[in-house]
Amino acid sequence: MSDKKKRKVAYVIALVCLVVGIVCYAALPDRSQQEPVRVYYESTGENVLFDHQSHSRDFQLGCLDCHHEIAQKENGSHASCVSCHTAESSLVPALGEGGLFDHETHSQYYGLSCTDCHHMYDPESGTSPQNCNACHMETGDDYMPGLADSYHQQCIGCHQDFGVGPTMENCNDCHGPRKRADAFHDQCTGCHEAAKQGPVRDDCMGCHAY
Amino acid sequence: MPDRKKLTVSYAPFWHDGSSISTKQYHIIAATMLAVIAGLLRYGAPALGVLSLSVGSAMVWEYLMNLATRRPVSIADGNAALIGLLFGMLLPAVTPWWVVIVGTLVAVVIGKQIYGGIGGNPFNPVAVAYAILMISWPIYLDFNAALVNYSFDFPAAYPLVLMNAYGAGGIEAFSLTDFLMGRQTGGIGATFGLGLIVGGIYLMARGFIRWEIAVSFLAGIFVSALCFNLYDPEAFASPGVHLLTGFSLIGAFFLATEDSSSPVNFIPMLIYGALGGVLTVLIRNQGAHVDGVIYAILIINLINPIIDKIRPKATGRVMYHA
Repeated sequence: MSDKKKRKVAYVIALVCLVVGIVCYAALPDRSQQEPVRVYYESTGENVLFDHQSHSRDFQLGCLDCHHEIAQKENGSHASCVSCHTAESSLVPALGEGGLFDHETHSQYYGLSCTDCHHMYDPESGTSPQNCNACHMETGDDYMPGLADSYHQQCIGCHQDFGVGPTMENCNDCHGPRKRADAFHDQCTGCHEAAKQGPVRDDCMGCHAY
Repeated sequence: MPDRKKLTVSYAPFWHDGSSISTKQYHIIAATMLAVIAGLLRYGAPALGVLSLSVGSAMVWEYLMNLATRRPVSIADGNAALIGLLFGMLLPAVTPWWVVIVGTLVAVVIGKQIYGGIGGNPFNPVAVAYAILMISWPIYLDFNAALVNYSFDFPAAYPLVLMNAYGAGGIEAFSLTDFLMGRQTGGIGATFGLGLIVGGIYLMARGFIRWEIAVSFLAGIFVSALCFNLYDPEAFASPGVHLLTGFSLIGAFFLATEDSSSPVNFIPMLIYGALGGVLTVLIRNQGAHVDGVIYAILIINLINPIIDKIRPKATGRVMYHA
């Protein structure tokens, strides 16, 4: 076959591919269905692939079992997943077996629904995944621990276990050289005093010799 | 003054499989067909749209670049079609049309043509395009997000994501046969392990790709995954799983073996392939990314010129300015 003929064949192949591609995109219906098969929630932690179809079909859950807001015409949230996925249940892996986050405390004790944190990311509306500091402010109160306390009481254990991110051995990861002293004076000494270990506020000379 | 251009050649050894450039490209395209057909059967018309648009647009970009650079039209050599096809095989079946078009633009123009066309590119054009899209619009290349409206008769979560989140326990619902037979989510043409293996063996047997690279790539994955698995069987999946999930097979047979970006000497080919396999597993098990094949291939592309210097000394007398 001559080069000229090969080129002609290539032009035809390219044209056919483009036409087939355009037809497939333009003419065939979108696969989205009235009832979603799965729903994908992006979050700052692990993303969640929620199997909507199996919950409705295999577990025979009705729409209103979770979507209360449809019945009440309120802007409520979905039912908490822990109504089924309890700590004792065999369904726990749905929450992340051995996960990095204490789902049980946040869902059972604070009544948070999964979607309170695992939002579907929507660039147009600006809905974005929830960060810890959306609830845990710089200073806490009796009901809501501050961000630093939350980290030190809750997050650091998992970081320690998994050996990633800031850990107790590496205060400098968060508290740089300048802020380390402030962190210690404002924050760390309270725990040190409670644990009766390490330097405490009454023992200035323990660190500041002169 | 002799015309030096006529004598300018690359380093020996020279490997010739006995066929023309276009014959080779079409044989590689033919070798992908089992995996492509399996993908089309699994995902239907949307997958056909992605593959067709990818192939067609890659050829159009090649043609436009030929015109822009005033070089002979080269779309008949099949290389642009192959780039488009391989790129489409890596994509989810539901990919926005503009992502496909941008991807082939990056692959053909940035990945290949700006280096002078076929044979001049230091990186695999498909890997370059996929990496840039992965960084720019990761959500469109997230298989879990893209395939939410498909019903499967097997677990629908992308196996590598499950491995990343839950360790070896996350993929207990799968068997190696599932992976081999394409009963897993993933790229359109990257999930049917058996088809990719058959295609790869055909290409190696016919000499269209170098077996040293493909085999050492897979061996690198196997050995490094085995080490991780022996160290902690709960946290790290078995070597078989690593070999048959993600882009391992398509990477070993169709991406790492690309001529221009891979070595030509025996020992460098083994090092190149093995390093790619090891990096793949390292990125998967220790890195932030779910699959490491694309980045691993780009890294070994990067070191290719250095390791290809490991070659026997030339014998005889060397004549300069002959």
